[in-house]
Amino acid sequence: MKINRDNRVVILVICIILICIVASLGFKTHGEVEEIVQEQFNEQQLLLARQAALGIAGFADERVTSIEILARDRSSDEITNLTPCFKTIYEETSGFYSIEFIDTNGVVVYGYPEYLAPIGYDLYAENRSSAFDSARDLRKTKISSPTPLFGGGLGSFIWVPVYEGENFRGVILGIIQMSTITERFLAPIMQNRTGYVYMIDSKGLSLYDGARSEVIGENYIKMLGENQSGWRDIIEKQMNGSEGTAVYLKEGDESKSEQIVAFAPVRWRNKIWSVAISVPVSEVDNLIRSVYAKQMIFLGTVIAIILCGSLGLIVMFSRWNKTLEAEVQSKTGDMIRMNKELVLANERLKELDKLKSDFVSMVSHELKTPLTAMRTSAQVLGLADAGKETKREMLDIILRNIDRQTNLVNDLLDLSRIESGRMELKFERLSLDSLIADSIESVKQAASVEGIKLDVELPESLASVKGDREKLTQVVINLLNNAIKFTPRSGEIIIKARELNGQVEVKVSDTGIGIPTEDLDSVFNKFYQVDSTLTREAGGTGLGLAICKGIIEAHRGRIWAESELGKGSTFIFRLEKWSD
Amino acid sequence: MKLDDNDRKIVEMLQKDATISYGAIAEQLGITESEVDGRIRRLSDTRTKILIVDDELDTLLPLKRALEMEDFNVVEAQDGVEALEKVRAEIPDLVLLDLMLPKINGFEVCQRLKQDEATSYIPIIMLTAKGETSDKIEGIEIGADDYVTKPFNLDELKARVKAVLRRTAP
Repeated sequence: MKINRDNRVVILVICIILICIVASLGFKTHGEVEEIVQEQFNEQQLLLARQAALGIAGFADERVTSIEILARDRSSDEITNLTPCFKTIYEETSGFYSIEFIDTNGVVVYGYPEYLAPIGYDLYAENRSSAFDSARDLRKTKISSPTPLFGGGLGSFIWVPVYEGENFRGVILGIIQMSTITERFLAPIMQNRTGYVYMIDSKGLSLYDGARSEVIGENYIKMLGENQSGWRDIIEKQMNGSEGTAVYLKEGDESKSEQIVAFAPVRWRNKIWSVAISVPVSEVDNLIRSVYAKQMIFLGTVIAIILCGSLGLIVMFSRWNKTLEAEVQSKTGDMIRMNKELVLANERLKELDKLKSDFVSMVSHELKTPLTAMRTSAQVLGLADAGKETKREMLDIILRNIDRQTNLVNDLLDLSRIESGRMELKFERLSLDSLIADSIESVKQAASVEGIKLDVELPESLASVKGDREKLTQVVINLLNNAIKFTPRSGEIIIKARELNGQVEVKVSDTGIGIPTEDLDSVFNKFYQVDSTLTREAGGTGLGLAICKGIIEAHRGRIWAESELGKGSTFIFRLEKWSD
Repeated sequence: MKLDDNDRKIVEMLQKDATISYGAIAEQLGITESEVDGRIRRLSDTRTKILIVDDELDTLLPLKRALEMEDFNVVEAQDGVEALEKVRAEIPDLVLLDLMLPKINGFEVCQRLKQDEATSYIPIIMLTAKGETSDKIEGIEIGADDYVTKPFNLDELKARVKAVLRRTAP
């Protein structure tokens, strides 16, 4: 018991240690995976931001360049010749909100498309001439900070001065609507993704905000409160034109969440804007989770397949096992049955063997007995001083014992034929009364010597039987001789016959010593009562009744004995009636 | 020859008065006259007495004749019970005992005789058609003095009888 409990504790401890190892490995791996995924994710975000920034810069710069080319090429042309090119540029290079021409006085004189152009708008009068002045004075393209447009939204104003030599002729103003850029480059980034994109200029002004369009045009620095220092730091970095990724804690109205911001600068001439992609950190977890989920599905499928396969195999084997077991069981049953049969057969054989050796020993004894008598008698005969009377006696003994041994041998042969089924019966239609009469005739002498009265009681007509005359006569004679042997002087023997239920019955009764009830069956055994002095005196072989039984049974009849001790015995046999 | 009390008394009476009648002796000893007659006849017979026990008369008779010719006094018995009775009545000098006997078999007769102090000194030769070694061993173990199988040579049997008598003579 103790050892068992110790074993359980050891197993438990080992299990716990193994679980801990597996768990720590899992955590470590998870951490590493998270780090790698995070890094990759950041990289990807940054690339996206950079790509968007480069796209925007390229796009805007192309527009500027196209106007600059026009301004330089056509600096000497009449204004009326110049302005038709606006249409070409506007149509060929999509993305302009409008292209206008401002004369040297700062008044808008032409614009395409015309419906958007505020012809006659005087910059000086409106006090919005600083960019115009700057372009004219520096003789260089001036890009002003995005400004609200008349038609709504922010617009980026590109002021390109037109000089014919030293002669200032005016400024071509190209307006690019901010939303055109953002729709083209920023909005698609976050399609079907969590998070949002925003773009600010170098002053922190919101040029685009995918999450909150209402803040476009506002300044982030001003918008952000004290508690959003994390983001403010990032915004400041963006305003410096840096590039990179950073994480800050976003405190919403209800929850806090970490946001990853990847930002890249848009360098467009003198302008530095910054595109940022802001995604919640949970997105990385989601990514990892989705990877895990896929792995889990894979593992689950593999395990399921393995389990199903194993289960199938187990079921198959167990079925196989069951069939085998059933087979083994049935075979074992057969074997046990056969074994039992063998044991029984062996016992029967042993019994038969014992019977046989008993019989052989009996027979040898029975054969030796007359031999002993003959040998001793013969030796006595040879003695010189044997008298005449003695010699007579000895000769009688020798002759009697020769007869006795002859009878014994004959009986043994009969019995052997009966037992081996080699007894040949010559069946014929027999009338038993004649057979009984013949038998009586042959034992009459012996009976009268013993002073025994022989009576016959037969019905007037007795049915015939199917039988062998010689053998049945032998039976009746044997029974009569037997009765004579065991009946004392002046006794009586009656032989009766009658018909009974389609059978013929013969009864031989005597007034002899009788047979004990328990021996009634065994009288038919070979050498029954062979020790009896009476048998010897009567000169029997001890085989007569066994032979009778054999013969009657060979006729499909039945023989048995009835007796009352001291009063006499009756031997009865029944045979089938003759039928045509 | 061994004598019992009655034998000795009869001898004493006869020595005192040679003319005493059998009836007087019987009266004095409280036994029948015929028994007195038997005892006196037995006492007067000085031959060696042999009891043959065999249920086969045809075996018994020639043996009896042969032994009588050798001047033995032969008595016979045909079954175990008779054998025991005869031993007590006749007090033989030797018993030739067949094994397969009615009523009480030879082994048991031998055993009883050897267990009874009054008869245990009487030598017994077993006589049987059973020649198995185990039978012989059993016979010798229960006290038989010799064992002869049937059919036997008469001369050999006579020699054995004499040898056993010599060996057991007082």
